[in-house]
Amino acid sequence: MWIERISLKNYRQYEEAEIEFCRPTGGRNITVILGDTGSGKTNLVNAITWCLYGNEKHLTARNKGLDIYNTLAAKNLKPGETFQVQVKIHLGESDGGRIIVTRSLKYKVEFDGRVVRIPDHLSKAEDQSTLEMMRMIGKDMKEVQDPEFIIQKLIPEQIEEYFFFDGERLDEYFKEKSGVKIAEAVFKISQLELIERVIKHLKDLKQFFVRDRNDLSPRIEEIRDLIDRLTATLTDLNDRKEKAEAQRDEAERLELEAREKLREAPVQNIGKLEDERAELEENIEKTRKEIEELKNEKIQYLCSIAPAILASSCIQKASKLIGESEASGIIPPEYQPGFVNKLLTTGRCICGRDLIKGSSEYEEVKGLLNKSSILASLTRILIEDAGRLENLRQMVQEFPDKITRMNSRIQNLERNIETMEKRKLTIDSQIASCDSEKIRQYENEVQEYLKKKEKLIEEIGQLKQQIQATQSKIAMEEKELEKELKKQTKYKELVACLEFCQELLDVASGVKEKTMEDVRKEIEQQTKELFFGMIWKERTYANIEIDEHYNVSVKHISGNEAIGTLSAGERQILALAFVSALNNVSGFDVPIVIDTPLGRISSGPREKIARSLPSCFSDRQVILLMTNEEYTSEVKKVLSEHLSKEFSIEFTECADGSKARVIENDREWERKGASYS
Amino acid sequence: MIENGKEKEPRTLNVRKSDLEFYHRLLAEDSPFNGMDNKRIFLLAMATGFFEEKFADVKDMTSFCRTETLIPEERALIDAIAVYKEGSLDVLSNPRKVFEIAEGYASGGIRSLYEQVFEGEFGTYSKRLEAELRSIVEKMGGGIKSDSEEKEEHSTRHA
Repeated sequence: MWIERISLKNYRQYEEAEIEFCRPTGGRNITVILGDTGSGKTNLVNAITWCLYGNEKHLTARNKGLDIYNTLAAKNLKPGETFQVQVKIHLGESDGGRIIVTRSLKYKVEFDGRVVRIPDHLSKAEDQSTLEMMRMIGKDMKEVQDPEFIIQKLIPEQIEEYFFFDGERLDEYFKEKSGVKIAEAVFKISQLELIERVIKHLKDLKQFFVRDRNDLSPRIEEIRDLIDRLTATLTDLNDRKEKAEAQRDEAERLELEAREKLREAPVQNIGKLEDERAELEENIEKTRKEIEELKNEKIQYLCSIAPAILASSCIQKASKLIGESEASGIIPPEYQPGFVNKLLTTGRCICGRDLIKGSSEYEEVKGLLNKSSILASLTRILIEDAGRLENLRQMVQEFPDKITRMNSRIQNLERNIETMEKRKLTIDSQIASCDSEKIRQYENEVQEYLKKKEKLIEEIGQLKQQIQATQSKIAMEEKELEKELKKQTKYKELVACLEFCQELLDVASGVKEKTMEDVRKEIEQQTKELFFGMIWKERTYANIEIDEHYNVSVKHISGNEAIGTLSAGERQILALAFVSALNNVSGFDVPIVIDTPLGRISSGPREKIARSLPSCFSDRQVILLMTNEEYTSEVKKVLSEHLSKEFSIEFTECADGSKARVIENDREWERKGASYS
Repeated sequence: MIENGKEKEPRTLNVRKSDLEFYHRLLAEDSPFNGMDNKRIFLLAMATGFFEEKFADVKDMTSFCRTETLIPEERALIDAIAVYKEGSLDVLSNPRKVFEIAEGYASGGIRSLYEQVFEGEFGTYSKRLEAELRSIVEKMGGGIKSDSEEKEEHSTRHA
């Protein structure tokens, strides 16, 4: 892409100016615009950036704060009159296409003489200027709807500083820019924002998945572990219970054996006593069971009567309301639904009037039918409920007596047990005090096994309880496990998303790093080549390196780092080489505009740099804004074979403002082969 | 659920899914209610909720027992609770509403019932229940006054 023409109207010192450029062909890609310091060279660069981005990016301290319009333009205007500042750039595209970018800003002269801006409220620019673009589509020039977007695609604003730059500041490039800043430049020029945005988006997405996963994070393993532990406990409890049951059975068998021996002992009365004791024990056991059943019956009764007692206030209230409804005649309904329905079916009222469908009488009777139907059904419920509530009332009334009876039955049985146990103890002591050694031994055995058996029964009871508790714990945990397993499906999906996200992130980061690395190597190579092509001390420096942190290093032939010892001119050459490399690697086909490219270079190396400039930006349009001091005859000579056009800025200053004109120089001398000396 | 112009009676009594665990625990082997049917625990929870004036929203419910298992007196008690809550007999023509009120009280009372059974001293639940029921009946003067008894008492007081 190349600049065909720049037209300026009322822009700063340019009241009216037009610069026609040539297409860079046949190695003639250089345009020189000459002007003294302060004549308006830098404002030509500003005009370009203002036109493209609505922002003057190279303002000098002198121009900062000053309005953009040419003061002479407003001078002869009357109050109420308007004028316009306009910069128009015609761009030629390599495929033959054309683009015209126009930025304008309107001003108005107020009655007090002040000049005020008329903002374009639809503008996206900070100064509210108007941007328009025409682009060749087919054979016609057509207006583009979103010019900012097209400009961003062709010459992105964030990297404009590598196309339109100040040569005098280049020499400060490696003074100011740290590795981080150079990395930023490489990043910008590599156009990695898109991939960076992808990476950012993937990171956000990853965070989102991680959060979701943490919320879900199934406790499956934890629960499974717990179930395993509980199952092991259950197995252990069951084993212990089985063992205790076997021991109990054995104790019972031995007890019975001892009792048998006792019963068969040849001592008077012992057999009889043992029989009585066995019968007592049997009765005690039976009575205990009876008490247990009675207690069960009691709890069943308590549970069945409890709702009626706890809700007794509502039984009372409902009964009262039903009674009142009956007493006030709300129920039963005045007319039975069957009777009213019959009137409607026969079509005649009891008063003798006809009930014709659709008539008001018919509708009235129909309404009566609905009302009486509802009341009849409610009456049925209420009558039934009234009877049942009465039953409940009686049940509640019977409660104290009934529960007392139950309690006394239980107490009687408990007293019976007490009596039987007393008698049993007496028999125990009678047998134990028997004269016969054998009998005492048998009795001791009976008591010993009996105690052992009872102890084991108690232990078995406790074990059963523990088993039940463990079983219900396992059941609860299994339910929990089921819930967690359901969560796991979602969890697995999330983990898969997360892994995929990470994979994408790795790929995107890899692409970014690889691209940056490739670009870095390419820039390093091109910088090196360009630098050594321009530098006049070829044998002083051995190499240029850009490390992985983008620190640029210039190696002296001795092997020492030399970047800190470079002269201003050498630094400018390095920067020019670096910027050229950035430019070439960027892939953007954009014209290069350099303000004062040789400003800080001493006369000796100027020629060498000037010779290298055209090849730095081969085939691209290069516009050099130079002072006559820079554009020496030597420079002129080396640039001449690449020069397409040469202009001069004529600058005049008067009391009301300044004025600049751009005039194409006559290059007759060149054609005649004039001497450069 | 309208059938023949009349609201149809729901087939099930429902409990909140989140309360199901308490109901199951109350019917487990180590509970004094072991062996009883679901309806019994539901009615007890409902009466506890009513007595303690705890009514909870009926949300995210699951069926717990069939309404056909209710004996007429239990059905009448559920009706009476609905009448008490609504302050009118009209609610009885809407069985769905009647059961929803019962379910609301059951949801309100189940946790309290659970705590009374399992978080009190072991084996004392039936003793405490008996004492509480006795105390309520005593406070009522030995039982629930019938409508006629109340009127008689009222006229005696005014004579």
